[in-house]
Amino acid sequence: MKNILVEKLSLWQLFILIFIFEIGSAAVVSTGNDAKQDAWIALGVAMIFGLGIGLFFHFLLSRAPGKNLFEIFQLCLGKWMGGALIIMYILYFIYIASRVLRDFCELITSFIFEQTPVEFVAITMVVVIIYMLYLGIEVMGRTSEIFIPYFFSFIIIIGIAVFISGEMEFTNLLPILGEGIKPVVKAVFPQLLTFPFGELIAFTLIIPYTSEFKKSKKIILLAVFASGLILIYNAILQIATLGVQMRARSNFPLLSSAREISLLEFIERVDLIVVFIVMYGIIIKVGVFFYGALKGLELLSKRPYRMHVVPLGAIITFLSVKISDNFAEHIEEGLIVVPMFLHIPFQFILPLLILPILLWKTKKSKEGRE
Amino acid sequence: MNRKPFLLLVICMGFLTGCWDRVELNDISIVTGLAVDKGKEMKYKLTVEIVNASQFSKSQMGGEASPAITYSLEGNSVSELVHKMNIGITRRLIFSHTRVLYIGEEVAKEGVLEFLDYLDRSGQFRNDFNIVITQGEKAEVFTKITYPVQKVPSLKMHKQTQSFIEEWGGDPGVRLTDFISAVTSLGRNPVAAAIKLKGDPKKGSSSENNQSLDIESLVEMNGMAVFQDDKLVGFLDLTDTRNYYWTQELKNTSLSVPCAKQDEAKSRDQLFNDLRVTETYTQLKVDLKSGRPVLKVKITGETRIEATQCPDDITKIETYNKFEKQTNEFVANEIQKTIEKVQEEYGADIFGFGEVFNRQHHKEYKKVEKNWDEVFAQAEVEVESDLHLRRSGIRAKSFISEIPKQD
Amino acid sequence: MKLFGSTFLRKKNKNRGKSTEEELFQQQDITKYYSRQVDENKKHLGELFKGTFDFKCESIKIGGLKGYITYISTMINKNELSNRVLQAATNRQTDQSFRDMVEMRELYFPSIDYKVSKNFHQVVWSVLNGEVVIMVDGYMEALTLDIGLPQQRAISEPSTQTIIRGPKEGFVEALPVNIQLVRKRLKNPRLRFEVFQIGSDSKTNVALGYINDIVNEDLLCEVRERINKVDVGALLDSGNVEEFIADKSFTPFPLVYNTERPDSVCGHLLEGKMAIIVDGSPFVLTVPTLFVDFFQASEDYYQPFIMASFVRMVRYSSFMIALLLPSLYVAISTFHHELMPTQLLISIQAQREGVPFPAVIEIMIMELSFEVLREAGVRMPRVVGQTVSIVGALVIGQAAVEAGLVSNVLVIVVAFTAIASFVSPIYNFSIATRLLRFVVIFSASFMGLYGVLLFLIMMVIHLVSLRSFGIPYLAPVAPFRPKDQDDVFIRMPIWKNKKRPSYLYPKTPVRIKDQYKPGPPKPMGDQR
Repeated sequence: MKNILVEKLSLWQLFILIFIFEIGSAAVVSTGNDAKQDAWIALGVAMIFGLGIGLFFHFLLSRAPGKNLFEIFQLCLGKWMGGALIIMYILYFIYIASRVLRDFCELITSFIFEQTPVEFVAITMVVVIIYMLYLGIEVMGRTSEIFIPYFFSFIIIIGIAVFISGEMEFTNLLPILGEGIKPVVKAVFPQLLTFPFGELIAFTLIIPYTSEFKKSKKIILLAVFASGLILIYNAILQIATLGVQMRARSNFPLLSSAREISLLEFIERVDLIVVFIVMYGIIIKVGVFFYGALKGLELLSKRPYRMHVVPLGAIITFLSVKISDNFAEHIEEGLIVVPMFLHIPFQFILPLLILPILLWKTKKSKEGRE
Repeated sequence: MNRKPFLLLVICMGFLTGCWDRVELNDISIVTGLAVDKGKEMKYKLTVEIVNASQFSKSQMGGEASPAITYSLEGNSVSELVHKMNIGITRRLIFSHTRVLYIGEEVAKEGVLEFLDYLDRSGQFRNDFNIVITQGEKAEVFTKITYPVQKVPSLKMHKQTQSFIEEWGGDPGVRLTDFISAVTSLGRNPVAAAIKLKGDPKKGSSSENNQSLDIESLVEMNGMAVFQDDKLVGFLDLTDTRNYYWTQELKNTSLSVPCAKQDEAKSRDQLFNDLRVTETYTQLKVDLKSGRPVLKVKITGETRIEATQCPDDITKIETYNKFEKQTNEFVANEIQKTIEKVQEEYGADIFGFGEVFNRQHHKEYKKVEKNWDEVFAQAEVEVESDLHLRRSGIRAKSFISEIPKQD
Repeated sequence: MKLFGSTFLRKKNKNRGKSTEEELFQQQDITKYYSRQVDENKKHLGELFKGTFDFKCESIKIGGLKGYITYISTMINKNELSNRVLQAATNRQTDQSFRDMVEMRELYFPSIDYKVSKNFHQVVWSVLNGEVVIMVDGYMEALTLDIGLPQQRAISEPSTQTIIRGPKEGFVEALPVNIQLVRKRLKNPRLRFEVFQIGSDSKTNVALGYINDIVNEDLLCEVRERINKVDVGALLDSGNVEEFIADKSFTPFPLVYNTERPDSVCGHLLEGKMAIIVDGSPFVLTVPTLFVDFFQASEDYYQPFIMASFVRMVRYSSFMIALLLPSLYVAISTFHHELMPTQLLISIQAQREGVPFPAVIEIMIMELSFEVLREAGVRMPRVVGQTVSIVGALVIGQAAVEAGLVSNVLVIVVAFTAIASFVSPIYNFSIATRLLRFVVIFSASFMGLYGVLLFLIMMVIHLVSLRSFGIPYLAPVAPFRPKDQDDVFIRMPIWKNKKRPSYLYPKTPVRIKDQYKPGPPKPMGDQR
């Protein structure tokens, strides 16, 4: 019996999780505005780097099979140093989770519920996430399996519907690379590289628990590639529909594009579909970061992570509301402060620093085994 | 783990949540039209047109109430006025179903940006309402002219422009986002539809207007308004509007092309071919000829003969070729005239040639971007029309060619 | 023409003959030969029918020789057995010897329809067919007597799962009859029924049926264990067992499938599930149960697969409608007016003009009064039922609208929801939708469509976390198994359905090995 009961995250579920995670909020907030009409090229470039990032994380994990990032820290730096680093990461994950949550709250309160307080949206969302994480990461995987067809087809359908409504102007995409490669580079580094692709760091706490770790490399690459394609599609859709200036001015360009849909005089004003896409994407995204923080706590406190779900959820809710006073502050932090001072160190610098130690340690243990 | 407190929290939350954004259908009024005029004392005078829904229910038919109500207020900003309307109106207003935005000529001349920002920013307004500039009368008058088939004035206006665009194309088809992106773009200037009133405004505002066969007062399409940046500079008539729209996204229209070259003759004596144009597609191009931009318009499409007054034999290939040639010359000439007229009279690039130029010759455009309108006004225009005559209805030869000549 | 017709026929016959008796028995490597030693035969039979409670093999003396009389007790008429067979065999004191079985029959059972079996598999076959087999020591053949099926109460059409095309038999209250109804359809020696006695007061017989070489061993143990654990004073219906053996009680979704139809039970057994038959209940449980089971009617397999697939789609969408339509109405009409086209909004507003309640209260009143009506309709004696429906239709439909208490659109919404909720082929599944509908309406009235979405996501999380005997409730969809999709949202043609669902981990995953695809006979030249 037990062999049936124990279920790990399947590869397909991992693929879906990464896919939704990557698209999650990146599809909605405007990304790569520095590159203007070439934002999609910037996304493509960032995606290629994203593949590299995925490979790097996977390599890191494959050196110490079965261990997640935090366990690797402890392996490399010892209990106390590793613990300190883990606490930093936990804080980082909590912060990012609440930022992502805030993105969604802003969207809801500015588009749909103008009078509903942000706190309310944050609490309701966190309740769902708590429920999901309490039941385990496999439940998250399986829930995503149910929603992926809708998630995917809605994104595609929005594009098709806008196109049929005749609101797309592909000439908006021209001139391609009119001002050279410079704006693209500016958009990729550091913004697009860290968000959404660098955020894969949170998956270093999930990947070791998949059913077949060996095959997960291919899955990670495929998922990053697929989500990159969708993001490119999405950027093209937004630019073609709204034009560069309008897109840059929109807080949530995908929603603004969806507003242009008008079919048969009946199917119009379907921005709610977008809200659904966003909502599920956000749940997964917050859930994955949340799970990362929980895993850290589990390792430090030596108690099952389910114990910490509710208190941590409360903290995330509180933070997401208090994190910034207004929308401008929120966005500016998100575009300037966070990538430079949080994303880059936590996503790249620290893992890169760990890498030589890890190689040295694992080399020793391998030799010892031989 | 003890789950009870958690459950309790969830349940409490359910009951404690107010219903912040909840509005019952009985507590709202649907706004279908907004009219902005210059105020007497303050900056704007805003008029809202509200649907009286009870007039549309099957069971309460026959009541004498009016199909819509209008109300006006003066104030310094549209957004404040929108929320102050309850001075005279019972219910909360919702604007998501606004169909037409009427802008008075006077306001348009002074610039419209100041209140368009509110419409653009607010999540309530959709991008599917018409923007029209009212000629002659004040904008508020137009929200009060009822019509027997579509009793709510703005719904009538909306439907009318839609049908007109599909049938003939005398409306620039401008929506809010189009307008705003045209204002912000240096390579394009905005336009908006123009309307005028026929008949007596007083009579139009009572529902008795709906009871006579010959409607005493009627809103008519009257071409379009040309803007320089956000300020109104002038109007174009219906034919020019059609020609303008042809350079943009026209699909169908009808033409009367003179079939014999009789330049001197008055149009009354001339013979015409009536052509229906379908599936036309227009390409704008800006080429550089010795450093100066040349504006090029290329029109392709299909036509069919709907009627002919000419005695030519339509069963012959030569006739088709001849008609085709005449049509193309006629169309090219028409559009050329319109563009040149805009160049001369307004010097505002409403066609978006600047944007086209930017896409094709990015570097050259950057040089002239700042004073593009001047460059546009002096640029050479080349119009090429490539319409194909395909068929001629359900008759081959016209009976006109069969009539025995009398002289 | 004639020639090629006969080839076609021969081919078909060959196929059919192969896939029944002989092949079946070869597959299961049953001894081919009937032995002269009856004890050996008895041993083989005992192995084959091990664990089957209704298999009987009793020793008798016949003509002074040692013999065995073998039958399945639920498949035969016990009166006939004792009156005509046992008495005849024992009353005859004359130890008349006989040359062979035919002669024996002449002596002892002259009035019974008979057959002589020379092969072992013929013996097994006869036993499964509900015949009595008499084996006598020293003879190379066995005598098979057909004494007919047991007497029983008239088997009637199932009352909760009616279908248009397909068998109209339904289970009854008596356990043996129910087992016989299943056995009649599945003549597999590996079909086993184990019997448990549950209930300190009632001592109710509960039979657990399964096909031994299909069902997963671990699952079987789990089910056995759970049935053994059932501790109750009296077991009055299978519904009592259901609550004890389900994985989770705090869920509106049924975790155990129940049916009145023998054909549907057989279908489940063949997939690798188990059936639990409780004496005194015409509702047979099958476990493990999946969400998708509740959207599959047995009629799906009796009508063309295209139609069946379409109907299945209708069922899924009506599930969504029954669940969500009222809440969508509340959400859109009180929160998201912009989602409606202008004309529709105006006409709905016009209808709601003068209705004194908020939309939530309005819809709650209507839904509740509908629930009351439905309950009354079920409990009422049939004779009064008519009155209830007439009064209900008048009150709910016309009077309420004319009095201006509710709007017309709302009546349409409630009525359509009600009809959609009746579509589910299994009655207790629609209970889930009925209950949850009120939850969604509440959540929609607080948070509009955002609330509906939140509810949906919560519901899916809940569904996904459910398990039935360890098998994920949403099995072939989440976790996704591409191979099992041929009988979920659409039904593929039966000849294509060669594999058993893999999420049940069956012992023999393949149903049919032969690649047989129906088609017109091949032209003569093409016979190679």
